[in-house]
Amino acid sequence: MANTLKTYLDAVRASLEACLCLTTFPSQQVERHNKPEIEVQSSKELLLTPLVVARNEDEKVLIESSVNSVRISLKIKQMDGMDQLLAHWFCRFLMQRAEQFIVLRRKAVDGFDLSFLITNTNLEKMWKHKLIDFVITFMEEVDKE
Amino acid sequence: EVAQRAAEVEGLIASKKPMKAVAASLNRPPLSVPSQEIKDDNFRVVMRAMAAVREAKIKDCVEGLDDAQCDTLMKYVYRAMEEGISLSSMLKWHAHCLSKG
Repeated sequence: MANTLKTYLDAVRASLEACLCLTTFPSQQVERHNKPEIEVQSSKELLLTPLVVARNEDEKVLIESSVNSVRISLKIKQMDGMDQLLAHWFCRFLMQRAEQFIVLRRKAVDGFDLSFLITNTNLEKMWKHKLIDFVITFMEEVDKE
Repeated sequence: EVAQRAAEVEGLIASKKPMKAVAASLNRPPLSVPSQEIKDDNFRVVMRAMAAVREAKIKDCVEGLDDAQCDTLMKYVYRAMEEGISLSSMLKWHAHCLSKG
């Protein structure tokens, strides 16, 4: 069990390191606007194919990246009704305080429990490897509980 | 062409050469083919070859592939994870492929 966790997290870490190569990209639709292309989805050429790293049916990470932003969605393992309730409350608690986290998204992507949105401006202020460590540590902590 | 490759891969698996089977299945992938069916068929062929390799042999298998084949392998690993097929072994293939490239 712990064995698959390590390979799973290593795979996620490697995928994130590859995807988090972001650069600023002003909007091509509106002058003087700079929007996260993964959210706006204005042009196909700016988006990369979404990657899924899955440990099993219940636990997976969807990584959608674009030229200036990356959306990482997590699905947390929920074995019974109680787990589902706890996960729902926990994620809601975090998402209501998304501003404090900076990289957390206020609403999770459909089919997932929690979503992060990392843009090039975030990467300019924070270290890439630290950000990846944060996401991985978060996944580890959630797995422990 | 996919049918040819499928036959070749089956042949290699039957003759207990799963590593060659994986290499054969990764040659000339259908990249710009518009038909999704052909891509799906090729995906199945690659999965069959990968399933034939025992876990202990994955590392040797990956060592024997060249860079282009390794890249193609990674793409198929991610596709398999998306579909949810044999995930624990996919994670192992991913780790070995990564340490190679």
